[in-house]
Amino acid sequence: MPDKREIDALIERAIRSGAEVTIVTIGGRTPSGAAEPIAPEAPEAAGPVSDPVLLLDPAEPAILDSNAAFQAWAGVGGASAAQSLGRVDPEGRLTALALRAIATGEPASARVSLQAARGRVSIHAVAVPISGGARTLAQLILRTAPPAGTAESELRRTLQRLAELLEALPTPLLTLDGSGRVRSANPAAESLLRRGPELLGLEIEAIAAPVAAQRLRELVAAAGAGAEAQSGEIALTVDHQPVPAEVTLAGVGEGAERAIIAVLRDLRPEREAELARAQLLGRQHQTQKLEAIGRLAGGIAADVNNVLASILGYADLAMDDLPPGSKGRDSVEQVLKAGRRGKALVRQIVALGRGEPRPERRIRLDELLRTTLEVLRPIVPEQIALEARAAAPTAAVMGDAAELHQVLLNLCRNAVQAIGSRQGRIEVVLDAVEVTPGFAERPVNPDEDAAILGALPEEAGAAPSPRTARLFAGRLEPGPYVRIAVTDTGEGMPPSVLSRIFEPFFTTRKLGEGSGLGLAVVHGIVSAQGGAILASSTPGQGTRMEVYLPRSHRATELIAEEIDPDQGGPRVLLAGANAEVLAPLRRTLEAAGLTVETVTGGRAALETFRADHGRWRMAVLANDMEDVSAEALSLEISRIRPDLPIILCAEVEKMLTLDRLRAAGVTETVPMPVDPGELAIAVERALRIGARRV
Amino acid sequence: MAVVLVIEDDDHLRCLLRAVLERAGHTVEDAPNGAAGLKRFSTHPADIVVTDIIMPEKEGLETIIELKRDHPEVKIIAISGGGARLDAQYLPSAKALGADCTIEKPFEPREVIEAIGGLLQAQSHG
Repeated sequence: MPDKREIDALIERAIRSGAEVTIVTIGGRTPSGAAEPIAPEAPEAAGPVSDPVLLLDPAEPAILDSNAAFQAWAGVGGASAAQSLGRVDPEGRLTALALRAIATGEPASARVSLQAARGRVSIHAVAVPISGGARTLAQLILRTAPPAGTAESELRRTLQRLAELLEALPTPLLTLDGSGRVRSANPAAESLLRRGPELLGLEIEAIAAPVAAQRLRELVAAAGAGAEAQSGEIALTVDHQPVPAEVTLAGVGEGAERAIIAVLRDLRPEREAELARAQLLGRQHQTQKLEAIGRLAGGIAADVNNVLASILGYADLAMDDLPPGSKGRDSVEQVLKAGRRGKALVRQIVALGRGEPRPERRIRLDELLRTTLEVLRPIVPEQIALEARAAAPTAAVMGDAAELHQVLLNLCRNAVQAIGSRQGRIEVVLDAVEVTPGFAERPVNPDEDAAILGALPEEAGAAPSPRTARLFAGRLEPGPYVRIAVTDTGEGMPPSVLSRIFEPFFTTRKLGEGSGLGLAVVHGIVSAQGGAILASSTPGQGTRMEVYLPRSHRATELIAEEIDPDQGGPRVLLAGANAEVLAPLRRTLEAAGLTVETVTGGRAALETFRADHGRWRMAVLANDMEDVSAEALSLEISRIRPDLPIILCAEVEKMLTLDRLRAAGVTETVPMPVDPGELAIAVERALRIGARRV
Repeated sequence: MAVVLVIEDDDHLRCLLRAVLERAGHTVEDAPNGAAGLKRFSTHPADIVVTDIIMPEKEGLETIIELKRDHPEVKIIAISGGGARLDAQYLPSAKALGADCTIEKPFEPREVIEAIGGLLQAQSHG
């Protein structure tokens, strides 16, 4: 067991070797044994004698002994001091410091954050290794502020404040000794580097990524040698990953006291912002380019149309004058064919140049697929297997049917051409997806792309190819979308080609085989509808094009979500005076995808409703019934189910006043005779907003 | 058969329409713009007017309005290039202003013949 003098000497050595500026004076008596408590001691007037001291067994870890200063500082009674380690030092920093001192056989010091009686404090701790019989212990001295009045205490107070300031600083900061070893790290630095007290004593290279270690060492050497601050971009190692950071180093002090302050700045947020900006600019540039070309093309289209109309017209007239089977007739037929190709081309150009979407209507995916396949099947050669399905058939988008048809057709035509005369497969899937934030920016995921291409039997089991490239065009806000995905096992595209596919007139095909407008048109149409396109391609394996269009929150979709196919129970109660009134309403409701139960007569309707009132999704009441008025029926239904939307269909002249409608719980009204479109709109609105009264 | 007035500023198209319509048995009058068309109509009334939309002097929409105002019985077929951005919007407008039928350019002769046939048939039934 070392005596006080030995400990003093050890601490003195520590101070000299580490150039620490703290002056160590041990307050409490040197503990003479674990069982023997330290007696409270009166502060000495001549100097700081009241530093908290404790004897720590890091193997347990546990406090074996402590002085009164520690107990007062930590706010623990003499008896419970032994159990207070976990509370005072929940992060185990004192234990770590003790272990370091024991491992080196030298005193170790560090600034640690501890829980004192007055709250969380940052305090300078010195650990001195002590051989305590079979166990190796450490005495820890916590350097609190000394009594005021002496120059030394003023200095210590200043240093204390300075240390606390650095601790609280949100900027990551390290101090290094002259040789580049870490002497202290503030919490911000520990947080950035995701390391704790083990940072202390590390060589500076250890915190840099291998490629940057040498450069960091050079900066440290330069800062150590000169007066100028040194700064550089260094990849730091955080959790074994390189993290870009700016490191600024400045030397302070002279000779053996020379130390280096290192300020670290995490560059990740800046890099991410730069990347996002570059992507945005890239997208803007692409959009502007398309718009410019579109405008130009649209402008000349009108004149080209006149020329084409003349060619087609005169060729048509000439056909009438030429006898069937004649050579001249064959030639004119070719003129007509060419003219019609030109006509199709002009239509494509016009679609490209049109900035605003056309008048829209709701289009269900299964309808879109059916109409497209009618046109598509004849152009798919026999050796290409075409598989198409609408995974979410009732999902719908708002748009121009002809344009969406064009989108799907152009994608499929490209797929056919990419496969060419080889055997191959095209898969067309229309489904509904939820787009989450960051979807478009997500990095290339080889697994996902393998899953995409691997979904095709030929590619099943194929390893994810690192050659898969992706291109994203358009804007994709988070939300519900419909996805049109066309996957082929064609020749695929290298990144240099993929990056240009949406450029108008860009084509890899021979002259006359492709206009280079197909995908530009797809892009134009999809962008105008607020959608986006994601293209992935692997040379030699195939291409997948995904078109995302905002999903329409309309009846079909809501109904599809509402109806549980296993239950299949009726959801809409349709009540009216007689079958003649109800039949057309029923047809409209069923066409909107609802399951309808009709009841004639008010009392019967009420009985049907009450029998299982929880299963109804909506009630549609047609006019007054003989036995019960629609108003009374609505009142009773809404009393039982205040959440149920109720649509009242009635002649305008018989319609209730707004106040009475509200009082009766009616949510929507439709004038009779009912216009199916108007009823469908009311149904959609009722399903969307429920029974919320306007 | 009917008397058809063709108002079209593109010479080729005007001649083509004349040839097509005459071959189908109609009597054809023509004019290179709306103003000339209205003047021609006043001296040579027609059963059906086939008019382009974008023309110098007097464009098609104005022509349609005046024709329908002064001669509500006349049937009008509007033809438009559908090229420039605004142009595409004109056909629905033409319809709203009184055109009985619209055809997008580039059209093929039979489209015009069929449209005229349809209008004449509707007229005889009406």
